[in-house]
This record gives sequence, C-alpha cells and structure tokens, in this order.
Amino acid sequence: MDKDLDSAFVNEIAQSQPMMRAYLAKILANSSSTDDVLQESNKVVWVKRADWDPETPFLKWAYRICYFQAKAFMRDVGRERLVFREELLEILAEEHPRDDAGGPREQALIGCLQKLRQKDRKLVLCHYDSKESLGETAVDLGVPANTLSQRLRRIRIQLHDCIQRTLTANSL
Amino acid sequence: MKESYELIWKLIDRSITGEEFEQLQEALSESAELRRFYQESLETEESLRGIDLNLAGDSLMEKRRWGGWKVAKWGIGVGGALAACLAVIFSLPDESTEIDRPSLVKDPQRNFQFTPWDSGRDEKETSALAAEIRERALWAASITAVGGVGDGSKIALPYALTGGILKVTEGWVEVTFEESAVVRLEAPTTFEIISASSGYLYRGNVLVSDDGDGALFDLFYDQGRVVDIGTSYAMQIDEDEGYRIFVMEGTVDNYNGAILGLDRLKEGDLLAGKNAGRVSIERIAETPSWVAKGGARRELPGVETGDGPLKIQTTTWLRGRAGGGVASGSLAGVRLRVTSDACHNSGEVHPMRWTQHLNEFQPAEVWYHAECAAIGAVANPFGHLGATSVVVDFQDEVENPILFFGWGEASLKVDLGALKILDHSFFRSHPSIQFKDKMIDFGRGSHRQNIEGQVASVKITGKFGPTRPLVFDLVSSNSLPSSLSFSLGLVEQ
Repeated sequence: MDKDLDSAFVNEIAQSQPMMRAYLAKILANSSSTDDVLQESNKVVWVKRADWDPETPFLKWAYRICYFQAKAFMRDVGRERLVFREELLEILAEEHPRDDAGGPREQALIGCLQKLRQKDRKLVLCHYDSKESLGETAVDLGVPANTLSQRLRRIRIQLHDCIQRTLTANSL
Repeated sequence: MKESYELIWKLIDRSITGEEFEQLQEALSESAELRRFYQESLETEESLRGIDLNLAGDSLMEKRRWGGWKVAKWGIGVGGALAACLAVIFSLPDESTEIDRPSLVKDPQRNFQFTPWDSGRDEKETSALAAEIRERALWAASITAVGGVGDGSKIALPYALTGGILKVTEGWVEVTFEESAVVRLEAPTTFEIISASSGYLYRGNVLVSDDGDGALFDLFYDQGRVVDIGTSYAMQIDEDEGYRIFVMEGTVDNYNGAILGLDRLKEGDLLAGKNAGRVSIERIAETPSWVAKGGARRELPGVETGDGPLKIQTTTWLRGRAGGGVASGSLAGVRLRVTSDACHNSGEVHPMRWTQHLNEFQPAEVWYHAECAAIGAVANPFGHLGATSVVVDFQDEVENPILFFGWGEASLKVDLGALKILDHSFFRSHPSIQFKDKMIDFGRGSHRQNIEGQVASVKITGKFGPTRPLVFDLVSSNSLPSSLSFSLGLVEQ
C-alpha cells in the first residue's frame, strides 16, 4: 500500500473509531472489555489494510472485522457474565448504525448540550470530562450515587431525544 | 416498553442484574424499535465519551483557566518552610524485557552540538526574542536528517529539540520544525531555535523550505528578519556579518533593521548585504553555489520482528520544569533549595539542573529543569520518575508580607522511531489520548485529581506524526498529580 493510501487509511481508522466502538459496545452488551476488543479489531484492520478497497465504504468493512473479533472474544472468555444469545447477536450485528452516526451526531450533540440547563450541562461535562466512574463523581459532588445516576440518566435521555430530533430535521 | 428503555440505561451504566439482562435480551429480540434505541443510546454515549469537551466546552461553560501564577499569601507563622512539589510517577507493567539498546540519544553528536535553554528564566538569554518565546512549547523542532559525516555516531531520529542553540560543526543537519518548516543547516553554522516557526541565524548557511504544508518560517539575524511568505530560500551569514539571501521559490520579505528598510524578494532574487545596510539586489539565473544542499540520510532505530511480543525501539524523553519562590520585604535570610529524586529510569539520565536567583528587589525564584532520556522497548520505555521538591528555607526572620508562588509543568515525549502507522490527523478530532495495553487508544484527555485536598486540573494533549513524535504536554493549573500511569504499545505492522 503506498503512502497516500496509507494516509487515507489512517484517516478512515481515525474517523471511524467512535462508530466502531459503538458497534462493538452494542454487540458486546457494553462489556468493560469493549475497548480491548476495539484494539484487537484495530490491529486486524491495520494488518488487513491491503484488503480494503478505497472505493467501498470503510465502516462496512471494519464492522465485519469488529464482529469477528467480538465473536472471538466471546469464545475466549466464555465466562463473561453478560453475553447476548447467538440469535440476538446476529440480529444486532447486522443492523449497522445509520450513516449520520458519526460527525452529524457529534454536531447535533454539541447543539443539544447548549440547550441543556447550565447545571445539567456542567454535570454532563464534568462527568465525561473526568475519567472518573459515576460513583467517584458522586463522591466528588457529595451526592448519593443513585441520585447522580438518575439525574445523569434524565439528562442523557433529553440529549438522546434532542439529537434524534436534530438529525431527523437535518435529513428533511 | 418503558421498563425496557430503563434496562438499556442500566446496561450502559453497567448496573444491570443478570435477571434484568435476560429481560432485556427478550425485549431486544422482539422489538426493532428498542434495538434502534439501544444502538442510538450507545452512539450518544460514544459521542459524549469522544467529543472534544475542551473545545466544545469553550462555548458551553466558562473557559478553564490554565497556567498563570498562583500567588498565595503566607504569614510569618508558617514556620520557615514552604514547599511546592512536583511529583510525577510513571508506572508501567512489570515487563522488563531485555533487549539490545542502541546508544542513548545524547548530545553532543558528532556533527552537531545542541545546547538547550537552561531554564525558563535563566539570565543567559541568547536572543531578545527568547524570553518571549520560552513560555511556549517545550519541543519546537526535531532533527530529521543528518549527513555529510563519515562514520559519525548514530542518532535516533527524529531527535527532538527545545529552544536553544544548535551548532553544526560538520556536514549538515536537517531540522523539521513543528509548524512545517524544514531547515537545512550546513557546517559551520550557529543557529538558535526560538520557536516552532522561527529561528535565529548567527553565522552560517541555511536553506529554508517546508514539508508541503507551507512553512511561514521567520529567520532572524543580527541586522533584521527574513519573513517567509510561502517559499523556499537560502541565507548565508559570513564571519564579517555580511549576508546573502537567495529565493528559490515564492516570495520573501527582508526587514533590514540597519536601514529600517523592507525588500520584497522574488524567485531568482539574490540580496547581498553588509551589517551597515543593504548593498544590492540582483536577479540571477542559477542557484548560487553557496546554497546548502545534500541528500537526506535518516538513521532510525530499527524495528525488531519475530515471534513473541513485538519489540519496538522507542526513545522517551521525560522533562519537567518547576518554579517557585517568595517575595517579601527582605530576602536576606532566604535560601532556596531544590531536592529531587527525579529521573530514575532504566536508561541513562541527564542530571537535573537548576538555577537560583536571589535579589533583594525582586521576588526570589528557583527553577528546576529535569530531563530524562532513554531508549528502550515500548513495553518498558522507562521505569520511574520520582518526586521533586522546591523548598524555601527561611534562615532568618523575614518581614511580612511573604508571597509564595509556584508552578510546574512536565512533559513526556515518546519518539516511536521508524513506525509511521499513525498520522497527526489521528488526533485532530481527538486531541487527547490515553494508552491502553496494546495499542494507542483515543479517549478523553482532561484529568482531574485531588492533590493534598485541592483539585488540580491536568490537561494532556498529544501530537503525533512521522516527523512529529508523540508529545504530551502536561500543564497543571496548580500542581501536577501525584501519579500518572501510562503503558505504551503499538499495533503490529
């Protein structure tokens, strides 16, 4: 693969990381090992980069690799507590994210964050900006973890609804 | 259905029970709408995880305040000792794989000598611009090629440079600046790197071009300044301070301080001057013979392949600076002391240097400058960087008020050598990075940590590229965290 193609490939990998991770999180039931499987998938994607045809959608190709890496992971760690049944896994794996799952979603998210109440926005930004778990954030803020969890969940539902509305409106 | 949505959030929060997970599986199997919600929720979560909150945050919440002088008022009753501590511990997995190490990257090299600026406020300023520029990035450029040397010692390239004086004593050296300019220096040349996009030519012969992105490089000299506005040009300064500028491509503005003149030079223009002012400009057809030339010759650390864990030579620099001091009515009895156990690692270590200023009319300051450099396997490029303390001792009673201030910053730089699997663009949308076990991962880069009861913010940013080695700048608004952990690794080629 020549330098230009490598460069294009690197860009594709970089831009696809959030979507690849979301895809893996979906089929791995948001396993804490999602990052590890993503790394393994990235390795395979890189090793097999010569197989990728730049004329074809990168993500579709990458999702397939992610899927097999996820399957391999589940086979290797059979004791993983939360693993989807085979039939459901197949269904989830086949349902790829929409085309607007990347940049447009992020743009919509920024707009929706701006619509939140200031204190909610601060809470979301603090939580995601830190590397802390929800429990640690709760300790920092001096509130019960359950209270924080409920509040964050409400905010995320608001954000989710707002993003969907924005994406739908933009696609019209 | 509402319950099922709730289960999805529980799954995302990893608070779902086994029984609830079974319920969720059933619901997901039956409902395409729920599956869509599940997918979209994870995508939203991913967007929140991956969004550049530091950038987005500028418009969303008050801008974070970085840097700046932290001034605290202290009474005499403090008891005679104030301390500002910088403690950075990099711990890595216990993989002490023994490998053959190439010789440590250290100066002076066979064909050049580099003398970094000694400290942020050292009195040995080598140019008037240095003080202004010192506050900026710790690494401004990298040596990306050397040539014209017989059997000179090998150096691991790119070889990172801070601001400082670069003397090319033999052959030539190519320096790639962080902001794209590529400057070739032909011996004998004395040159000062003053920022990521500017330098000062004292004597010698340089050729300025760019790596394709457009350099806009400024070259200062004793009588003026050459402003590159998208071009390549050469400049030579003789021992008698006569100078010549030749433009190969594009346009150059030469500001002549001696006569307060400005000359715009175009392709083919040759300007020749003396220290008293401009002498002549002529257009010539051929490139003059004095213009620096030479083919690039890169000497990069090799990549070992074979069975087992991939062994990749990498060069790691650790660098920290901290400052602190006191200001009071009388500083006669104040002694500043620096102690450090920094830079214990598996490679050779450059000793810590520090400077001290005590002036009755100025705040007392102490700066320390620690630097480690080591070459090792990626699995364990360095061991441990310990703690450094700046201690201010009061031997005599001093007058009130006493002001204490302190700051610190540290950088970790890892040069991944010949590996070029990633590109700078990797981080355009993810300016912050974190490492995972086996591969560079992209994640959130801001980091909060409690330090002695105070919350300090540490920002970790990364830059990477074939000629831009991975650079972390850790900038703390207060004090650096007591510990940070990184583990490095790469994908197989």
